[in-house]
Amino acid sequence: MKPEDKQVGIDDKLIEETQCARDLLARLYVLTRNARNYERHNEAMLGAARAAHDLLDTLLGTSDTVRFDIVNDCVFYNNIKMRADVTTFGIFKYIIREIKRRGIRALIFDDAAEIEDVLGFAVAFTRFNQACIDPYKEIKRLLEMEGVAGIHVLRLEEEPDQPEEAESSSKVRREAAKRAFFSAFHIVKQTMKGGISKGTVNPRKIKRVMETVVDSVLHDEESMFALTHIRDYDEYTYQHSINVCVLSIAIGSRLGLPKPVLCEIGIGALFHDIGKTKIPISILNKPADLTREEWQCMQRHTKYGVRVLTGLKKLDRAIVRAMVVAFCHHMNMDRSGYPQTARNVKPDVLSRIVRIVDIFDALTSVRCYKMKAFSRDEALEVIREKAGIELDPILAEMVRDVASAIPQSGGGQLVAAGSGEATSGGTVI
Amino acid sequence: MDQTVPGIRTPLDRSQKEKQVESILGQMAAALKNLRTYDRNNPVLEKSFNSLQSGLLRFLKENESLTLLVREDALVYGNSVVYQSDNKLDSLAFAFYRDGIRLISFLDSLTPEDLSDFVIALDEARSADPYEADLVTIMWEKEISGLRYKAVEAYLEDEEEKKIREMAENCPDEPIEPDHGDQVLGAAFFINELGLSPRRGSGASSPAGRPVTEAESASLVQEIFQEDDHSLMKRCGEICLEMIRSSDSDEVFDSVVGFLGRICDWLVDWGDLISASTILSELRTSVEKDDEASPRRATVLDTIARLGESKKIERVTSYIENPDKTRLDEAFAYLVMMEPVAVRPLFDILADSEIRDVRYMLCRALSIVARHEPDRLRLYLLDKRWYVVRNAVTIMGLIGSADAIPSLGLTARHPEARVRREVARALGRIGDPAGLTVLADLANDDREEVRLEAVQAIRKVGCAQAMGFIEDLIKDKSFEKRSPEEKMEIFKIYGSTGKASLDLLESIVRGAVFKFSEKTRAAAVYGIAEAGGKQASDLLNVLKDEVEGGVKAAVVETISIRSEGQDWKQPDET
Repeated sequence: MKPEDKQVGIDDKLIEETQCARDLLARLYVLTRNARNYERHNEAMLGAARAAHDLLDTLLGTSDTVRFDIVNDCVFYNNIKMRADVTTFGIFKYIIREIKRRGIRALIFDDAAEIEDVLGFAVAFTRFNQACIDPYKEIKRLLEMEGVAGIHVLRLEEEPDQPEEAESSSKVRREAAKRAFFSAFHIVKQTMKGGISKGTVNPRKIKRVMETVVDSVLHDEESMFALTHIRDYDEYTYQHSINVCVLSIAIGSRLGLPKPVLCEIGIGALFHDIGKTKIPISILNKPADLTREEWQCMQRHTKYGVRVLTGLKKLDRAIVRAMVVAFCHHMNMDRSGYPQTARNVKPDVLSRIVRIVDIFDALTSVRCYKMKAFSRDEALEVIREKAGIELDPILAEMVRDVASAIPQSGGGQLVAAGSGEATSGGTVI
Repeated sequence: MDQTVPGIRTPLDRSQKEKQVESILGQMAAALKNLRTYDRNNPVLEKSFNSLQSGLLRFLKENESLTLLVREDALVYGNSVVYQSDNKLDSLAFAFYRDGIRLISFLDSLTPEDLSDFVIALDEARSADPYEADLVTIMWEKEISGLRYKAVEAYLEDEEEKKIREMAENCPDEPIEPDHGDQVLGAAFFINELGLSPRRGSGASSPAGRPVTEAESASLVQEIFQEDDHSLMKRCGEICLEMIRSSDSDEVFDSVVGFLGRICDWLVDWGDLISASTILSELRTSVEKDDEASPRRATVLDTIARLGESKKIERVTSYIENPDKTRLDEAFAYLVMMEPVAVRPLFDILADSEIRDVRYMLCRALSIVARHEPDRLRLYLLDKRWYVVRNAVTIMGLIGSADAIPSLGLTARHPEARVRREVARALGRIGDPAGLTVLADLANDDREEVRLEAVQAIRKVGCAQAMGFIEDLIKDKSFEKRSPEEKMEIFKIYGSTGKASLDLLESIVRGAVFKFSEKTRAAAVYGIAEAGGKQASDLLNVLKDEVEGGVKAAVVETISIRSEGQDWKQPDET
């Protein structure tokens, strides 16, 4: 073998190994998320634990231990710096933050780690109480309690954030996220209630609100995603619009797009269904199949969306983008969907992002006519089936990544904000 | 300077540091002012930026940060007013205050690039439409890293602010278990509503998920960035045209047409007259079958009319400042879409234009835009400026309507020869025998160029009566008094009418009928040559042996030129 061939061989092996390590982190991430909602021996937990263990086995076949270090907000796998790609950076961000929060500098897996240990680790990791005095001692205690063997943790050398401070900064972020979320809620509601013609909504206001939403998604994606769980039958369209906005920005951020473009995506997504204000409520909320005429009327919301936005007095790039999205967000890659055009108008990337997120959020929502919501996996399955024909296959993969970062609690989620319908219990964000 | 605010110190109390800040802010205001005054590469501007950079960056190195409290008319550092200006137009303090910024901090991580971006942001915010963006948005978009600011949400009304706060406060931190609903519709219904097909696809996305590669994400990013403002606007224009095509609601039609007008406006600003003219052409087509009184037609024409207002039309001037053929064609394609309201601004541009090709393009455009506006055009014939009258005459000629002949007849007495000449040309273009009387007068004008143009025009009218006019002109005894060049031109024009002219020309050349001078007879030879064809050639060959002197020399010359085919019209036997 020539030296250069050998070099290529080594590189390939290393790439495979780091990819495998990256997958393992992703699996652990899913597992710790699932552990919030499911019992230890739930099938969802077991499946994820098995997948993680398989990857661990593969990695332990090449080295004695598998070690992940957190250094300066970077993840190192067996001393190799891991680079987050567009689909995993959310996972990396979460893992770095949560591991540091537990006072851990490094996670070490050895060949004694079995599936039960992986499960125990996820449970201990999730049960961690942030209000403890010594996070590292607390996580050690929990691991011991779960009987975890073969998975070891090392203490973070520098003092972790004081729990109170961490709690306080997390609270500040959460409050900022809520504020951004409800500002967007307010503006979409105002717009749908004729704010453009009344002059209470203008591009400057829309942009300022969207800047706060973009900042919140970039700085505290988790809190924003958690807010997408809020559901209210009466205000479905507003909330759906914001959810699509938040999730579309999340996809845009994974693509590494600059803030002004994220702002444009957010505005396009926020107003994608603005044309529904012109559709009779009897059609929008009809709890049965629509007649042909009703269906044709419903389809017109894409054109009405453009019409509503034309009411804005100034021609602004973000608003023009929003018009394109309003028109194209039900068009498919294979020219199916609607509206059908004689001019061969193709959906742009922003419309395709909104399209796929729109489908995901609509499928996972409970609607006013009490249709059962799809679970996240069921919705992703629908998207997967359509990927490559009707839907953009790359974005289909990306929405899967975004969806995996959304706190899950079984099927659809419902909190009627301020409506008095909320009851206690459920998932901790 | 108002120093009555409790706790705020007077200039006399200032520390060295406060004086330093005062100086930095002075430099910042100067840099901003210079940015508005000079080109980006001007040394004065560069110098003021350098002073600001060195001053502020040195301060930050020594003090880690510089935090300023913003008041409507002043900036406060510590307890001292370090900047004050009552002139809101140029005030740094007001620039921050107006957009809700109440506290601003420069950090030691501020780079020279950050600082430049910041000053540029201040400048952009000043010229930004307050309806679209403000300083906060501009700074946010620029992602200036060494800068922190605290802004109140000045864009929200108090009531809105309260509502949002209430919603955020009422929102529980923890979501609850869902109500799954008790009425389940088929998935097919839902899929259909979303615009997806019921068929199962290939599932190009893997069930377990796979990482998206760098190349894949890069392709999407590239697609996003490829769509610049111009292509985005064109895409939106396509969508709006599509909506018009399939619109079944007048309300939607009206809004979208209005918006298309704004897109055209934007495209003209961008310099894309072709896309704008395509949109306008399609708009016109969309209502061409509608009757005159249809509301949709009125909407379209009203929208187009707005684009023809003075300020909007003036933008085309910059486009045709240095015209090449393509630019002129594009400008023409756009301008011919205008409504009559554009006549006046177009006339103004025409009056100011010194480039002949541009003037002709504008006249051609006006001949289409003003074709149904004869009264409006006639008014320009009364203008005191001779060149405006000439332009109006040219346009009337290009329109080609015989209705303009009476007005042109009056204008034929205009004191300016260039106007009279243009009248002759216009009447030739109109080509109606009704104009012959005016042309006959012009054929006897004081000025040679007018006379020649008139004869040319009579030839263009082309009827027997017109030919009679030329023959009478030649037979008139005053003809001999014209210059040899003019006579030759008239003979050529007459000869160009074809073989019917040969009899008269031959008799002139032979000196058989009229007592013309030898020079005039020689000039008539060129008329025969102009008539072309075999009959003219044969006649020239016969004349070669039968005439003498200067006339013979002319015959020989024309035969020689004809045989070489130089600059001579092809024979036209028909």
